[in-house]
Amino acid sequence: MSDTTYVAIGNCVWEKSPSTLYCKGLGSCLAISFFDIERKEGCLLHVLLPHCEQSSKPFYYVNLAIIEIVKKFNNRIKEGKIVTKLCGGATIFPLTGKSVGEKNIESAKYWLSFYNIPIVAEDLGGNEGRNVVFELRSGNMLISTVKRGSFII
Amino acid sequence: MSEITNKLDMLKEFFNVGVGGAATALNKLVKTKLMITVPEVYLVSPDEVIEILGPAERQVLSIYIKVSNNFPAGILLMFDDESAKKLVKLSMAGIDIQKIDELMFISVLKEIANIMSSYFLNNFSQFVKMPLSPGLPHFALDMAGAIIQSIISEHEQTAEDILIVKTEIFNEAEKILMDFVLVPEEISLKLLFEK
Repeated sequence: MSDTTYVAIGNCVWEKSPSTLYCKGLGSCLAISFFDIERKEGCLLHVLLPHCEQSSKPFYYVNLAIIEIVKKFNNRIKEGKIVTKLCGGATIFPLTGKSVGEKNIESAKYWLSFYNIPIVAEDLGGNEGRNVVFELRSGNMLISTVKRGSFII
Repeated sequence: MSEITNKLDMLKEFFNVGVGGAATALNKLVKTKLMITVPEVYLVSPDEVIEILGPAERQVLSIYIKVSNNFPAGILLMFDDESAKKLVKLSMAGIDIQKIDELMFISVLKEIANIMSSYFLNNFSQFVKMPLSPGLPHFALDMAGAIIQSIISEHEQTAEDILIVKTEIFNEAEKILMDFVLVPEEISLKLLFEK
């Protein structure tokens, strides 16, 4: 039996194969997986907001969370062993202006490329919520939605 | 501390009066007696909000209405599929339910939400002592978690605790159940507590 751990909003959970991590009901939130392809370990991050200068809760914000993770994974990132997958950032209610979902995506892509972390797969935007399961055995992300069903990225 | 508790109790009371008005309006529309539960106030983290209104993967139909700039807040109505169909059917009495297509269905739900939030705000505005009016209704059919979380992130620029006031409007015999939730934005909270 492998462990399954829930990753709440504003959290980041580190695990090794064969564990799985999951987030439920992602709307404009982003789930970002960081995966060490050789060591089969990594983390799943569940962020709520695009940007903050400084906060005691860094994992709520895309920019601060990525910086925290880079600190931990620094050497492996330089060796090119860390890959990421992104999912979420939906616009559930089309209010005026740019939605938080879009801002989250923008911020995540900016900071990941800033630190040279490759994005190997993504399922972003749209207008519907997602559940996501991250398997550390394979690095796969299993996404399920109301209208599009389930699929793997 | 006790002053905040006092303010929250007041908020709860005015919310109750507001929802009473909203339920009466709906009552007249669907000609069915509706009850409301005692309102609950929570000041909790985003994840706990989802737990309270969830579970996260529960599929719901929802209407979200933003309240005017005087008092930035959101009103969220959530129904399960069965309750929504029942309400639409009752408010369109005399029209064959088969003839109501999806677009019409959503439009009727939005109108229900519109009427309810207007009545709610009419009463509630006496509490904040400013005129309040509802914005356009937005519809979404999705997981409860995704809906709630999107509203939270649209509202908040920070990861602080969130205030929600919620009640359930129901009729057991007719199997109608809906959540009526008010989510004041951070600025509105300050407005409330500094008065």
